[in-house]
Amino acid sequence: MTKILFKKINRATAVKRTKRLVYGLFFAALFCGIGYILVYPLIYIFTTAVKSPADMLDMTTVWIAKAPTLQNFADAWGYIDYAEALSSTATIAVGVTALNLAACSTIGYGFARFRFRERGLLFALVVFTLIVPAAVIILPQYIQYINFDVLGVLRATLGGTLNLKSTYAPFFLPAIFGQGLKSGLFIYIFRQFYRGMPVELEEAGYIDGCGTVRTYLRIMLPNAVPAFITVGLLSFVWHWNDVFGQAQYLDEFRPTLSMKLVGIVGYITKSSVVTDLSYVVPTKYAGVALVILPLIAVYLIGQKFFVQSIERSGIVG
Amino acid sequence: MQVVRKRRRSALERRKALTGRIFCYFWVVGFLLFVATPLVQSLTYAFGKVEISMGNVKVSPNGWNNFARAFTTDAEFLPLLFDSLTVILIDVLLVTFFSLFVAVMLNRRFRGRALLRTIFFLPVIITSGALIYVMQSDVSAQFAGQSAQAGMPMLQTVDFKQTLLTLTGNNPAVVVLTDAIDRVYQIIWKSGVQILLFIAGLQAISPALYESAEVEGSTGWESFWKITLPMISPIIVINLVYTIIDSFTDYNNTLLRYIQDVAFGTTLDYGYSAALAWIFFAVISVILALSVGILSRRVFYMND
Repeated sequence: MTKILFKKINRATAVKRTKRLVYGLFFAALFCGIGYILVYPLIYIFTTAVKSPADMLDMTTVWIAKAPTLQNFADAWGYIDYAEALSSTATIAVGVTALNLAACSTIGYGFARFRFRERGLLFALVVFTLIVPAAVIILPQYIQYINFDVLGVLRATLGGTLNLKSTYAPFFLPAIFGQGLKSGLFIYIFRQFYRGMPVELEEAGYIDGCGTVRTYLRIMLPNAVPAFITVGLLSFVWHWNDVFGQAQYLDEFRPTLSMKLVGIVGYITKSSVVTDLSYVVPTKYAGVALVILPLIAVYLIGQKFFVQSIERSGIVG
Repeated sequence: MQVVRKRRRSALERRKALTGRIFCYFWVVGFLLFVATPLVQSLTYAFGKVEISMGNVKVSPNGWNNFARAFTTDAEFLPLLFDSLTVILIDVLLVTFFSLFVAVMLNRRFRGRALLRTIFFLPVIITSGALIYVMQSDVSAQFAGQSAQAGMPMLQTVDFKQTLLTLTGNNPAVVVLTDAIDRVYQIIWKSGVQILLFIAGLQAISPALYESAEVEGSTGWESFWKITLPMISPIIVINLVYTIIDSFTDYNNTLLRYIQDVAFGTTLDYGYSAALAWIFFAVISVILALSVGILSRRVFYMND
């Protein structure tokens, strides 16, 4: 009797194990395929960046350079004025991201947890700002920033308007109020996260005598780490790579990495004696690599917190 | 006793409503300061003739002429609009399914999970802003060329497509399907943000829910439908909204490029461009309102 039972169990586990193996192989194959598509440009960037002119001309060299050189990186560093541009880009990316996190999380919490009559209408307005096509707003916004005025107050007190071109203000000022690049999306993300959190957490805070603000700071914020990491990463990457807004306002001030990168071929051919493609192309990709390396580093660090956050959040049911 | 309790609660409610208003009106102040004026300005452009000279903008009223031109005399606008609408409809569905699938897979515990997640985030880094400008000419062209030849069997749908089309006699439903297969590469690239959002959402689901379901004898399949899907539904809505917006504001959107071209290209007709943008904008708004309206009835929020 027991023997038969054991046999049955053994067969059941064997079936389960093969099933799991087949599933595992299937997903491994699938993810390898997708992974290849996604990693391809990165491999392309880094392998091309170390190629010497001889490698570029050699038809037998496809991926791995036979005479790899780091000279390209040193040259690209000079062409795009790396240190200077990096500090400008980092100022924008770090500053705006911090402001975005502070503003959008607060605003998102307001939309998620408090009931008042015009809430739906205001939130529709938030989504509305998200879908305004850039073409609608580029020109009038530019004019607004070069003649900046706060509801006529500056004109009345200082007798003129401010020209905010060639300052970081067109990036920082709107971000303070949750109006920056794609801020509407960040507000939306925070709102969805806060709405999904158990309301008992806050009730516990209220019962223990916390006010709404303290409940938010002490209870909700520490539990929203995944949302903060997500929004932080997206905001950082998008501001790091944004070209259009930065080119508009910082052109004659402090050019950023992304602006330099767009014009890199021009810089190389203008300031170098060698304008041969076998030199220009690898140097260009060295520049690309220099620009995305910090991004990859930031993502790897963020990723670590991302995985940890769930263990720290302590939400049950 | 009853009365006292009621009054107290309403006082708390009122105080909470006030806090909420403070939180949200902060945004409204920013909106009025930075966005409202340019928006109104752009509307006046849409209803006017715009002349730009030496940094000065002169607008003379033009009535509904710009809008009439878009629908009656412009031969390019309407076809481009319908094209981008069909593309977006298919893309939104495919991207949502694909990213949910990948996120659920990546949320399981297995070796190399961290590496895979890093890889799936790469599109967000690579396909934004400057990098796409620099690399579009080289990498994507090369990749597309390679996949059309023999490099990527996964993307090699050309022959299969031809056979399928001849077999079915150019059935439009099949055309839609094969087009979708052709876009696999794009779908994978477009899903970075959505996967990230789904993973963050999945991480916010309490493991206790799955544990208790398992104790009650639920299979993984059942847990997905009864726990994961309802809990993730708020994120599905936001991903849908994001995907729609992303497709509409995509660099590759032909209609958007046409609008930009009208304004900054050869014609420099900013008034007409603004009118086109506003029509486009109205269409997106209607689509978004419809899809969110239908979906949010089915969304599950833990507390509501």
